[in-house]
Amino acid sequence: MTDIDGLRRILTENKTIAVVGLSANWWRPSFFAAKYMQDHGYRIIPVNPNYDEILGEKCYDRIEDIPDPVDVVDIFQRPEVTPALAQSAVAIGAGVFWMQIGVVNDESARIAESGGLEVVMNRCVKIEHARLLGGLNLIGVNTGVISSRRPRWLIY
Amino acid sequence: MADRKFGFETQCLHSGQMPDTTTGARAAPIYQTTSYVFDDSDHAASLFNLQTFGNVYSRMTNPTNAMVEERLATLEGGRAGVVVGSGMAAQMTALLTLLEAGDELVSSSTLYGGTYSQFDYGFAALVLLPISLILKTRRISHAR
Repeated sequence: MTDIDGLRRILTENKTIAVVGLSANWWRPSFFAAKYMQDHGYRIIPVNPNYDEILGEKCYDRIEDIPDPVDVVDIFQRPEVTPALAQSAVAIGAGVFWMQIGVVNDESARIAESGGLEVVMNRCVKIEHARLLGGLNLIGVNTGVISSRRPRWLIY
Repeated sequence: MADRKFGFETQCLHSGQMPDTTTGARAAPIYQTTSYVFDDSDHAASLFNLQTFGNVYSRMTNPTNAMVEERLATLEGGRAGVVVGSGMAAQMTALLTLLEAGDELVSSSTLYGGTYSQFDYGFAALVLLPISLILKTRRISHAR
């Protein structure tokens, strides 16, 4: 999944994001991205065995431990550990397997796709949200968005 | 599905600006504002912490400028753009971003006089500052 319409649909239809490898350190990219998404109306479910709570949300050791339905499994982990995470995302019935920018693993993508999930790879949720739903357009970034339609979403 | 590739003319007219959310206006308005409101102190804090996107003050960002910046970036095939109020400001902004202390800037002496003066006198004067940006400018009489 790389096209504007598809990514925008994923970001507007899905509201619960399990962030695997989320750090509690405010200067880490995972924290920055998750806080941004939380501030923009998404429920963040942290997955990291090192913490009990991040961003005011209970933190789970493993993806399988999450008791609630998950729309997007967002991966901040090294590429080589992602195939097992893709299997976990399939096991809990998530809708989207999203590997962050710099996280590329074709095997993981195949596992998730064959399990019925949509796959986004080598992209950042925060960058894509700001690019396609408003934000980056405020600071002169080439968003690639050209449209004659009035945005139906809130532009910050 | 792959994204549609737009032609040069379309990019010239429409990149960097979507139809206005409230009014539906197709062309970009000129936002003659210096300041922008914050919803509350948390909103202001997250803007200053760069945790959310938004305008703070037009010296930093302005929606009209942003439209021009994105449009130029699109036409040039770049990642992003910055517009400023004059050519002198543009070259100063670009060069002070690219250069570090100790770098040498080689320039032709046949540039526009204001440009050359900024290099040869303005930047040279920065060497005297306590937090010195040490630039050596060098004359090249004729770059053929």
